[in-house]
Amino acid sequence: MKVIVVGKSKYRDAFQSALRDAELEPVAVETAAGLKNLPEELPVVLLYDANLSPLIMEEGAAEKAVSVLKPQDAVVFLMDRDEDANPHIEYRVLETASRLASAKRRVTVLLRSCRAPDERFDDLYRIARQKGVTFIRYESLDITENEGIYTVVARDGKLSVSIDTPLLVDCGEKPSWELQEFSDALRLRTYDGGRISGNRWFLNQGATFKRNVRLVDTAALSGDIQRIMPALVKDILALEKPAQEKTAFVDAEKCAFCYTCFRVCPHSALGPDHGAAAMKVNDLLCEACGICVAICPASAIEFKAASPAALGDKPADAASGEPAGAASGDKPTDDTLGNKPAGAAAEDRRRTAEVPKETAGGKLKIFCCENSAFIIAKEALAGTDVKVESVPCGKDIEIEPVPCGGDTDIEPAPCGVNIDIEPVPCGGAVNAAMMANALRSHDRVMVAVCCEDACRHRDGNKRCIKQVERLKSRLDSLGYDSGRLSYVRTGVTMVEIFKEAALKALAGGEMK
Amino acid sequence: MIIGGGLAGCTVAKELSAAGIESCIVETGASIGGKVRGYGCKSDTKCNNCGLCAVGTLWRDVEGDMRVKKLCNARVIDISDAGGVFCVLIQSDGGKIEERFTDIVVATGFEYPAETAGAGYDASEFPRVFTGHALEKLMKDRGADSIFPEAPKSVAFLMCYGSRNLKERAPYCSRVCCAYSTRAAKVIKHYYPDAEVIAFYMDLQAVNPGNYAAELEGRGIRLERCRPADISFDGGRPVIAYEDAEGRKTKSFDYLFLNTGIHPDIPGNTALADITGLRVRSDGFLAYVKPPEKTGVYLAGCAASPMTIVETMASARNAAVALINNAAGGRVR
Amino acid sequence: MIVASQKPVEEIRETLKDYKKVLIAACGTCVTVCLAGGEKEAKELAALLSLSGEQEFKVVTPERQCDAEFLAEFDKDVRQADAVLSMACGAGVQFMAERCAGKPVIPALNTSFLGVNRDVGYWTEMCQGCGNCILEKTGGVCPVARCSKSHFNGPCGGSSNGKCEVDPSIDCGWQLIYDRLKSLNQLHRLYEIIPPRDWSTSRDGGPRKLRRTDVVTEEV
Repeated sequence: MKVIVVGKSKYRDAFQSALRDAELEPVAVETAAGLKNLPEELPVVLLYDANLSPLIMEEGAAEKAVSVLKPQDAVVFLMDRDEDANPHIEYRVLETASRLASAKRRVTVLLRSCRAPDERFDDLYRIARQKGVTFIRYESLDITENEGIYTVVARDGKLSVSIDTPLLVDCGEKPSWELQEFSDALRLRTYDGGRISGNRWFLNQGATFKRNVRLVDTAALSGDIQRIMPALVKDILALEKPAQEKTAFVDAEKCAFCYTCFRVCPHSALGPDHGAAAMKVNDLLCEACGICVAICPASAIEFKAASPAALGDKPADAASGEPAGAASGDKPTDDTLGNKPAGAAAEDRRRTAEVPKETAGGKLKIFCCENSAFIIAKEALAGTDVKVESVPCGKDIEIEPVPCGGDTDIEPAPCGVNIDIEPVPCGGAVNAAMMANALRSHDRVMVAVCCEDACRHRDGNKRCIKQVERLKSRLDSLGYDSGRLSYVRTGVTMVEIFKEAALKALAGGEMK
Repeated sequence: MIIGGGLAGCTVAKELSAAGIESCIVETGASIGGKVRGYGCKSDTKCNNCGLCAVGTLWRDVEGDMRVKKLCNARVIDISDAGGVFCVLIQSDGGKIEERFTDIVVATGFEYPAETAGAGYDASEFPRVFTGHALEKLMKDRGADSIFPEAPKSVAFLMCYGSRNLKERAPYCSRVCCAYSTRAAKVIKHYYPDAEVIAFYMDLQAVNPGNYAAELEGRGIRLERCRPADISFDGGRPVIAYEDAEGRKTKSFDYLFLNTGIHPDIPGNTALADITGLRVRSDGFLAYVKPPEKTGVYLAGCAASPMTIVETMASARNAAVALINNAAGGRVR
Repeated sequence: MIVASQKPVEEIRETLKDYKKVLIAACGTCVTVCLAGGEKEAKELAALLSLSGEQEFKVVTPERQCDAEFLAEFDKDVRQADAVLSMACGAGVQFMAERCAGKPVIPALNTSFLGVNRDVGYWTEMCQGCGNCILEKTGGVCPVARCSKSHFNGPCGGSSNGKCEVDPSIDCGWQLIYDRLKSLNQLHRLYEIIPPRDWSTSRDGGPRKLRRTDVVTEEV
């Protein structure tokens, strides 16, 4: 299996040979232009050497720099870094500072906050202190330069310290412009500031929103490539199969080729098929979030069962009643609103096609994001006197009552008719048409999405809330009670909050 | 066998199961989930990056997974070598049982201190004092408008309370407290914007990129760098005596949060080290003597050192992957 | 492409109030792309208008409403309805009306301009269909459509920081022309006076028609 290794990193050879040991085939690409014309779904590893001062990164560089100084000159390390993704930079700074201090240099380290990742930091810190390195914590800093001498004034509340030094080592990371180029070429959704990441940076540093692209920060490894290889290789091999049991699929006949889905897909899984004059989903990049399905103005995208077949084959059409591109002869007829007939919809609940009236019950319908609300929905409503029915989504969602490690006991929930819960892969998979349709069969509709910045599909939760707000204002202009429609943001443990929102929605009010 | 059915243990079990490997979780508690199952997401309206969502449906998945045997209310008594496999004696509800395993994963986690260091009292007797575990429960059980039974006017956080202190048995940084307590502080300030929220700290980790102290102060959380000297009680309300650059001060609060940190279960770890061939570090956590590929004993999670939720899952994954690779390549002991 | 936007929903409801069975005809081309009148919007509108329970709605989506063959597919549905709500642009609405003898055809959209898609959800006017294109003289920026006053020979003098005095969110068309000619090293073209034009090629000459006689062999 080919793996593209991007970047001119000094660790590239070691990395490539580690990949070969794992029976993968590394292909080196040095420039962003080199990424053109490669299949979109090939695994890509961006080897990123943090752009740090050579005085802390290169062996002997600091010693060389101080050798031209006078004996009484101080050396100041400025550990004031906005980027805190890489605590290992602090190790280097401490090691370098200790070495210089051992050679009888006056060394001061200025830092704003202290990150203590593990016992190694504590050890290095202790050693540095023993060797005589001075650590000064500051709240604000003023640095002026005059003929090669830096005057650093560090203030912390009422205290202030002034140091003059000819050697001020900035330990911050300089942004790498190349990263931006690669990010554009790979169509990654960058986090602000040009860091390649997503709003889920803290869950898996190195992961991007595109499942085949990973960032490996070599400074963090300190050359120890082997530490990450087993898990990385496993992730790379997993790229041979689609991420989920289903993927999005574009009906080329209905597609208006407007590029809307292409632009909004958080995983960059859609690409143009110019031959068909339509968009096409790359099965191996699709995460089945449903955002494209919801937003397509031509209703041309729906979920189909994913097949491990290589890109280019039509996926095995297990879920829907009609093969894509079928002749119109045997098409099952849609109902008056253009919805698929009840049978087809029941087979694949994931379509944004509206829930047929026949299966709707209850007074409140809650669309629950599977990543947060749906996990707690049943538990939240168990023990209340509302009756809850959950629409099966292909996964077994029956929960045996099991005492938690915490103190909550769960009562089994009786099935019934007050509340219908429909799981959705992301809040972004719910559009106004679905909500408006739900209002035809239910008194009230609520959408439960993940908290701000917590969407694992980047902005699906935001999209949903915008749809809710637009629909509410339309309901208002028609003279309907817009309070019938509401939303709530939930995290994976917010049982009480979800319950309050659901009960309030059932009673006709809304949570703010 | 996976000793410990908490976050690390369950993550290992799930990874192994996905690779077709059966496992048996031996858990001393009444169910799997450990401490993290009782933790609460710390977003106010915005995600505060606590990592709980990464746990997702883990508990449910493991509970329903046929490849994972779950022995609750059980503990490992002895492990011996039985010709290349481990013979393990387990004490469970049904008496002592003997099982054989090819590999062992130690994922026993950490403990909460029964006594909060330095205070000399049991915090559970004081309803206005919350330790880490109790803080999590507040975060989990909170409603949309309230966290506490009565709205507080002032709340204090004592950082580094149980750590970084050679005297009180924790000469290391617990790694997680700055993060979880400042997140909780943000949530509390969001619910009660008029309450005074003060964090007394010695060091503050850079929890988020950028100037975290400025970020917190921008949210109205006051940061006091000082050494808290003393805690006393005035009619049930906690009173903090502390020293800062100007001298000694005292202040009383409605609620007090103590960052008691992550502590190793030293007697438990010592006993485990004896029977597994691991060693106990000077700080009480477990470490390898020989590489796990040689011994068949793997370490995952906070049993090895203080870790965040995300790091725990990563460490568990690494252990699982190493185990799977070793199993695939034929075990060599 | 043609850019349009949905009329306020209460206005649509008002125009449909006398009809019991309404056929909603979406359009699969321009108005789908500008998110105004495609199948999805039609379904949402149908659901909203159905809330009262007093009317029946059916949604169909011809590929376009400006070619008769596409309309022909739905003649039967038109016959069964009391009225047609066309979600096409003004051209489509009228074409449909011509075809649907005796059936009222109501527009759901306000057709606005010929424009381009600058970003998701954002379109700007570019062309007025004046019938006499001089973009070659102005560096590819149209003074008719993009200057608020349609000046032909330079700015009005009211612009400020490149923005039009009529509306500060509008770029001054002549600023754009200047910048573009400069980047092409063609600033000298600004000295070429564009004379007052014969506007009969535009709408001012009456509704226009176009014939390509070379593609038909029968006498017309």
